[in-house]
Amino acid sequence: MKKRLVALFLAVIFCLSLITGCGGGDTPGADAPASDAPTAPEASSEQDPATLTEKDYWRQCEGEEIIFATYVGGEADYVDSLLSEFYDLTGINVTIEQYPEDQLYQKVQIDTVSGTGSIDCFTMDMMRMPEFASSGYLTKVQGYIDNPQFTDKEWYQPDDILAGPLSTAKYNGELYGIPYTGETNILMYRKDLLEAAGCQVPTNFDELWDVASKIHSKETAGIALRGQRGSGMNIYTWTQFFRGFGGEFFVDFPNDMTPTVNTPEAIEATKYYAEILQNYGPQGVANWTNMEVYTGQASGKVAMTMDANAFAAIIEDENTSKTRGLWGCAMVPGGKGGSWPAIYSHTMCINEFSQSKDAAWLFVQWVTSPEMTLKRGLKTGVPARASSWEAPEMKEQLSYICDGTYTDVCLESLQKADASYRPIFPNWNEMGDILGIAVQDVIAGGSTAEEALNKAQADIETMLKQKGYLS
Amino acid sequence: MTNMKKTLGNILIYFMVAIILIFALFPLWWIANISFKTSEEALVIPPKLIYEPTLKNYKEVLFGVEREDNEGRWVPSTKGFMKQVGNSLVVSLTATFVAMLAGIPAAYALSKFKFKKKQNISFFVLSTRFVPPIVIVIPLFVAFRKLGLMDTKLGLIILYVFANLSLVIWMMKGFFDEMPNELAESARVDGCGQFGALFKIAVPVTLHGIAASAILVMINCWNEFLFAVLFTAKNAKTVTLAVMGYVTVREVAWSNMAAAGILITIPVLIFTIISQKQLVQGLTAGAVKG
Amino acid sequence: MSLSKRVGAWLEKRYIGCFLAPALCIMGAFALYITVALIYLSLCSWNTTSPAPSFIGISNYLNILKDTVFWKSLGRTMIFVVCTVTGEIVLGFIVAYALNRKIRGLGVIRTLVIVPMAVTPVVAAMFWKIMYDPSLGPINYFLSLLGIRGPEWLGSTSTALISVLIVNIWEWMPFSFLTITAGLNALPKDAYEAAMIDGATKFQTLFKLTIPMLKQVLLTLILLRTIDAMKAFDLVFTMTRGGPGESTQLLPYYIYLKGFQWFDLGYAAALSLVLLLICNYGFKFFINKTGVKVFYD
Repeated sequence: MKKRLVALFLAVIFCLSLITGCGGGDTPGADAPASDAPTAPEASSEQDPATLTEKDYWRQCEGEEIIFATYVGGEADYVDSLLSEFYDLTGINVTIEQYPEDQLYQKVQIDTVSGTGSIDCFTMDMMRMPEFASSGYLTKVQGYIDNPQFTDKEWYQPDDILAGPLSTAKYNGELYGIPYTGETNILMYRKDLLEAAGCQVPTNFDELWDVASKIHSKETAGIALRGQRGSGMNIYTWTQFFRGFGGEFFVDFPNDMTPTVNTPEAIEATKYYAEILQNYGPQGVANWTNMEVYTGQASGKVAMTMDANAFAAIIEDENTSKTRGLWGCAMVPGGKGGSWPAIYSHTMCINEFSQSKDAAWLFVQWVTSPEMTLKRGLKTGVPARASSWEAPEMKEQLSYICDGTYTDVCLESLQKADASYRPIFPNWNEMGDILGIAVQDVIAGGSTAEEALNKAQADIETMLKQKGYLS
Repeated sequence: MTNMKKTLGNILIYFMVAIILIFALFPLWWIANISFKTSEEALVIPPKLIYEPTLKNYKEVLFGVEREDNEGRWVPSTKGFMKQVGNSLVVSLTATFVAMLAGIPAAYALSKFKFKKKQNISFFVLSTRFVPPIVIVIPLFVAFRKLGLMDTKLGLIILYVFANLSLVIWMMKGFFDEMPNELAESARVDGCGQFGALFKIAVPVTLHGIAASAILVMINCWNEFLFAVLFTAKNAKTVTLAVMGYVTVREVAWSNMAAAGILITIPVLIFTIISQKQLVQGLTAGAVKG
Repeated sequence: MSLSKRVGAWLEKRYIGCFLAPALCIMGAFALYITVALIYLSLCSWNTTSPAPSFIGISNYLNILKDTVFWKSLGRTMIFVVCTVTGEIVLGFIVAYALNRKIRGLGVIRTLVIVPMAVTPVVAAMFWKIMYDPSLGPINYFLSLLGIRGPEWLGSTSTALISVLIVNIWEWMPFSFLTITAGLNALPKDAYEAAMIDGATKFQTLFKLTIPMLKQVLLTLILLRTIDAMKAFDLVFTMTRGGPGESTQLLPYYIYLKGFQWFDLGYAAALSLVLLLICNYGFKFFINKTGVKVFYD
C-alpha cells in the first residue's frame, strides 16, 4: 500500500519536473558549427601559425565536454566570452561555473572527496592546493607539459611563467597545476598626503610608522591592513611583518615542524601590526577584510596600504574610486628580516577523478598560454607570466595606475616574492586560522600579543600533534 | 487632566514607534539609497543625502552589461539575472506546492485522529526542523551525485520540500486544531469519506491558513542560500546566488548588489504585506486557542 | 464493483496511513539516510591525512570532550540563543503591546514594522556589516551627528557578539511582533472589563492577565525561535567569520570551520551529531517541562 502511494507520489513529482523543465539545461555552443579542419584561433596564429595548424593534438579530444569551476568575476566572464574560440580550435565544449570563492572550494572539496569528478578543472587557492594534492585529488601536470603529444613547448613557453607563482603550484616538488594569476602585495600610498606632510616613501618599518603617524588625520587613517581573522585574511598581510621582523613559522620547515610563532620576533611583529593599526588605523579595522581596505582607499578614508596589487585597478578606476589619480605604489617596506612581498596565486588544477583529463589539460594549456595570459592580464592586472608584464599593451593599458609605475613595481615584487612566504603544507589553513584568531584578538584589544601568541603556539602544537606532524 | 495624560501617552507611543521604525527601516532605506548611486559614491562618508539618482544599477542587474562597457574594469556579472529569477520562481513554487500537498493530509491526520505512536511521529516531524543545514550537506552531496540531481531544479525542489515540510505540518495542524470536529463529522455523515472530509470540508475551511503556510514556505525557498550554493552550479542557480555574485574576489559591486537586493526583496515584501493578516493567523493558529 | 471503487474503498479504510505516508516517507528517507551517514562518518577519520574515510571508533567523540574551543563555542551559542530569543520576544512584545490600540496610521505602521522579515538574510547581513563599520558605514556617522561616539561594533571583542545579536533581533523581531499581535487580538475582552471594574492598574493587568493568557503563544514562539537561533550561521559567516578573536564563533560556524575550512570531515560529522543530540534532547526537555502544546494533545 505505502509503496504504491510512494510510487504515485514520485510520479507526481516526476510529472511536475517535466512540466517545469527541471534538469533541462541549455548546452552552450552545442549548435556551433563543427568545422572539419582544425582552425587555430586568431590569438595563437599571431604566435606561430605554422606549429599550431600542423599540430593536430588540439583536436584529439574533440566532442568532449568539460566543466571549469572558478571564482565569480569579470575574469571568468571574459574567459567565457572566448570559449567559442577554444571550441573552434579543439571541438571541446567547456562550461564555466562561477562561485563565490569560499563556496568554490567547498564545492570542489565535496566533489573530490566523493570522488565524483564532475568538475574537470578548477582554480584553487594556492594555500589550499596541498590539502588536495596530498589527498591525491589533483592530477600531476608535468607529464603533460613534457609530452609533445599534449604540449607544444615552443608555443606554450613554460619557462615564461614567473618562478614565484609557479613554485606555488608545487607540492613536495611535484607540479599540480598552472598558475592562473600571479598576485603580490605592494605598498600603496596617497602621493598628495605624503607630499603635504613632507614624507618620503617608506622603505622600512620604522619609516612606515613615522609616515603613518604624520599623515594620519581624523578623516583619513594613516594606514589600513586586514584585521579579520583567517589564514588568507589578516595572516596574509600580517606575514609581511612577521617575516620582515625575522619571524619563522617553524624551527625547520618541513623537517622539524615545531611551530615558532611565539618567538620574540613574532611578538614584536604582532605588537607592531596591532599598534600601528590601533594608533593610525581606521576605527573598526579589527574586522576589516580586503574589501573594507580597498573601499576605504577608494572613498578617501585610508592613506596607505600594503595589500594585494589587484586592488590597485579598482582604486585608480574612474568609475569606482573617489581618490583616483592620487596614488603611488612601491615595494612593501621591510625590517631586519628583509622585505617580504606577499605572494598569492590561483592555481588551475585538474581533478584526478575527471573522465576528461586530457581535454581538461588542453583547456588549462590554452587558458594559461602566453597569448591568453596577456589577454586576461589586460582585464585583471595580475598575469602570471613575465612576458605579459613586459608587453607594451599591458604597460599602456595599466598606465593609469599609479602614474604608470604599477607594472614595474609588480614585476619586481613578483620576481622577489618567495613561495615560502607562508608554509605550503596541507594543514596550513587550520594553522593560519588559529594564528588569525590570535592576531585579530590583539588588534581588537582582547589580549596582549604575548598571551595571544602563546595560546596560538599551544593550539597549533596540539593540532600538529593530532595530525602526526609532531610526536 | 486625563485628556492631557492621554495626549502625553500618545506622544510617548508615537515617539517609541518612530524609534522602532527607524531601527526597522533604516537598513532597507540605506540599501535602496546605494542602489540609486553610482559605485563611486556608494560608500562615501559622509553620505550624500541629496544626489542625482541613477537607474543604471537596476538596468545592469536586470539586463546585464555590454561587454564593451567594461574596458579596464571588472564587471561582476554580464548577464543580468532574469534567468535566476525564473529558476527561483519555478523552484519555490513547485517546492511549496509539493510540500503543501504532502503536508496538509499529514497535518490533518495528526490533528484529527488518534493512532498508535502519534506522539513519536509528532516529535519526529518537529525534530527534522532541528537539523542545522550545514550538518547534512556532505551526505546529501554524495547521494545527489549518484542520483544525478546536482544542479537541477528538481534537486533543489526535493531539498526545499524536505526543509519545509515540518513547517507546513506545524502550521497546518494548528489550523486544523482550530476547526471544529463536528464539521468533518457532518461531512462524513453526508457520505463523504475521510478523503472527502479533508478535501471538500477541511481544506476550504482553512484556506487562509493554507495561504499563510504557502507564503512562508515560498519566502523560505526564495531566500535560501546554503543549499542553493552547494547544490547548483549554472543551470539551476537561484536569485540569492545571483545577488551574492556581486561579491567577487577582486571587488564588491555595492551599488549593483544593492539594486539586486532591492529587486529580490520587492516580491517578498509585497507577498508579506498582502498576506500579513493570514500570516498572523497562521503562525499562531494553534497557540492562540490554547 | 469497478476496480477504481474497490481501490477507493480499500484506501478509505486506511486513511490515516494514506494521509501520513507522503510526508513521512519524504522526511523518513532523508532523516534515515542522514543519520546513518553521519553516524558512520563520525566514527571515521576523514581528513587531509586520510583522504578516504577510515574507521577509528569513538576517538572523535573523545577529542570533542577535550576540545576547549568546542565547549566555548557551545557556551557562546547558548548565550547567543538566550539573548536573541529574549530580545526578539521582549521587543516584539513591547511593540505589539504599544500598537495594540487605536492610533492613527496603525495599518501602515504595522506593515512597516514587519519589513525586515522580507529582506533576504544574506543580503541584509552583507549590508549590515558595512553599515556597522565605524569608518565606512553610516551608523557611527549619524551617531556622531548626535554627538555620540559610536562603538567599534564588529571590530571589538566586547561588542561584536552584541552587534551580531542586534542584526538577528532586527531580522526576527517582526516575527514575534506578528505572532504576539495575533495573540493579543484573540484575548477575550470581558476579562479586561472585569479587571477594569476591579480597579486593576495597567501594570497589574499586563502581568496578571495579559502575559499569563499569552503563555501558549509565547512558549510556541520561544520554541520556534530557539530552533532557528541554534542554527544561526549566515550572519556569522557573512559578518565576522567568528571574530574578533573567537568572540562570535558559534557552534554551527565551528562545524563549518572544521569540516569545510580545515577539511576534518569525520570530526565535523561527530560535532554535527553532538549538536543534533543537544537540540533534540534540549527541545524535548523544553516541550515536556513547559507543556507547550506543540503536537501533543
